[in-house]
Amino acid sequence: MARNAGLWAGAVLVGLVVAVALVSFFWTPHDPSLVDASVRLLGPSGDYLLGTDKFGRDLASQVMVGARTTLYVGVVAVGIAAVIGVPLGVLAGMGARWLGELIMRVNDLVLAFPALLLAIMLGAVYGASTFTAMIAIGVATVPSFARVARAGTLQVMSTEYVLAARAGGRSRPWIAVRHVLPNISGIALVQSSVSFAIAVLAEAALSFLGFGTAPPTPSWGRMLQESQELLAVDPRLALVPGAAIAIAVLGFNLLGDGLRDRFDPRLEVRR
Amino acid sequence: MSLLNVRDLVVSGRDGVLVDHVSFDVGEGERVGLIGASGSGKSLTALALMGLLPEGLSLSGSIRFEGSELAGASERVLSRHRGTDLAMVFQEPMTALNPAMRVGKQVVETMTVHRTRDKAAARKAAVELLDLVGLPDPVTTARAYPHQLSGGQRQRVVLAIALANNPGLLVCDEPTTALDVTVQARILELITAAVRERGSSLLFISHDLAVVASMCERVLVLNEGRIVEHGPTAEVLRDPRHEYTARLLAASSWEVS
Repeated sequence: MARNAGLWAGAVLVGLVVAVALVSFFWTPHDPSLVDASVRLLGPSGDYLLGTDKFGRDLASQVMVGARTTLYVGVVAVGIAAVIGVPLGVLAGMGARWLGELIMRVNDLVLAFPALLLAIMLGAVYGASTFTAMIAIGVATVPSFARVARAGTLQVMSTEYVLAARAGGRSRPWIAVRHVLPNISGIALVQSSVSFAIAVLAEAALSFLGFGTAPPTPSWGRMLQESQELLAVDPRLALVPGAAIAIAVLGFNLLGDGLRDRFDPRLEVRR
Repeated sequence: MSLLNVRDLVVSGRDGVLVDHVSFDVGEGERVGLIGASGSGKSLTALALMGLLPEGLSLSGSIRFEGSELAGASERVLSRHRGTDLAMVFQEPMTALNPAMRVGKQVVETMTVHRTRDKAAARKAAVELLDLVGLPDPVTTARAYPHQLSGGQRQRVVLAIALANNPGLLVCDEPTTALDVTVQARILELITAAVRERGSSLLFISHDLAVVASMCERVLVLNEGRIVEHGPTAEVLRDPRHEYTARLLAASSWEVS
């Protein structure tokens, strides 16, 4: 039960972020990008739940729509990483030894290259946008997927059921699809959750630096950046998006850890 | 001509020779036992026949199945033979099935992969096979995942998979070692009945003399990678020529009747 507590807490936090993002498609308290000088820097009230920023925009509405951006970037980035990284890892684990070594060394090379630097480079070349941020974060996350997929593949390939499948005349591609992939999907899921947390943080950092989501699309990272100059006057402007980022990252990390406990074969209790 | 001819089979690893010039034949429909202590090279011999030696071990010599050479054959040629001409039952039923796939599906695949039956026929045949190996309620069992079955039930599934394409030679590597005694006897009966009925040959690997004596017409005794004695089971067990066989006999619970 105690082990499951983290999983549940993570699921609730992630669920909260997802729910807020979904609701924002249909309803927000105010138009998140409506500038109204008459309501600048208001504190929380019944009308403005979390108050307004220096342009009079509603913070609550911005956070809600920002959740959308965050999840969008996370899903696409993790999707790119998983779709490229998992097959690479399986190939590295099943293919000839030299091929596996080659893939993993290239992997190490990419891993050694900071994701933010890659994103800033891409942003400089192709222009800063949510799209370039997603690609950069995705590409930078490929190695972690390739690595866990390879480890899982090696473990599955050493099992007797793979030997039995080969004894039954199954080809290698067949074994990869029918035996390896289903049995490493658990650890890939765990990696997705953990990578999602990193992607959320990376997107916020990029938007903060001006290499991510461009205005007027609300983004938690850019909200933080805009709050900078007023930090001494009104720390609430930084606290609100900061808390949103913290909740999302914590949620995905807890979820990942909880799932890891469930899927880690070393911890598995025979059901 | 025999079904399987093995000549001068040598398996060597980095630390030396593990199977040393092993030669034997298995005739059509014949049941041959391969006995020896653990580490004597029994399992490696079986894996070599299937072309499934672990990476890092090298093989030389000749393995002919119905006249075609398997030693050094390509993975493609080998996978055509595996599961159809040659099938294998492994020692550990707890790990020999894919935990993420329903067992019925695993039986069906053995047939569809080799196109011995189309999908619908394979499904029907799978249920019949599960019934044949004595699984209760085969329709329901086919939908179960391996973790829902006991060790004995899983080994029955493994046997059903091995029998699915009526193999010419069934290789059993200590198929009952991991099972409790009462289940052991049933599985052994099943294997004997199944190979008899199909006219398949059997290569039965065991360290248990009593089991081999009850199953096999001929026996090969393997010690430290070499065949030290071979002959009709009754003869070898009654009058062991080699000192190692005598020691094996003395150490076993089997009594000469």
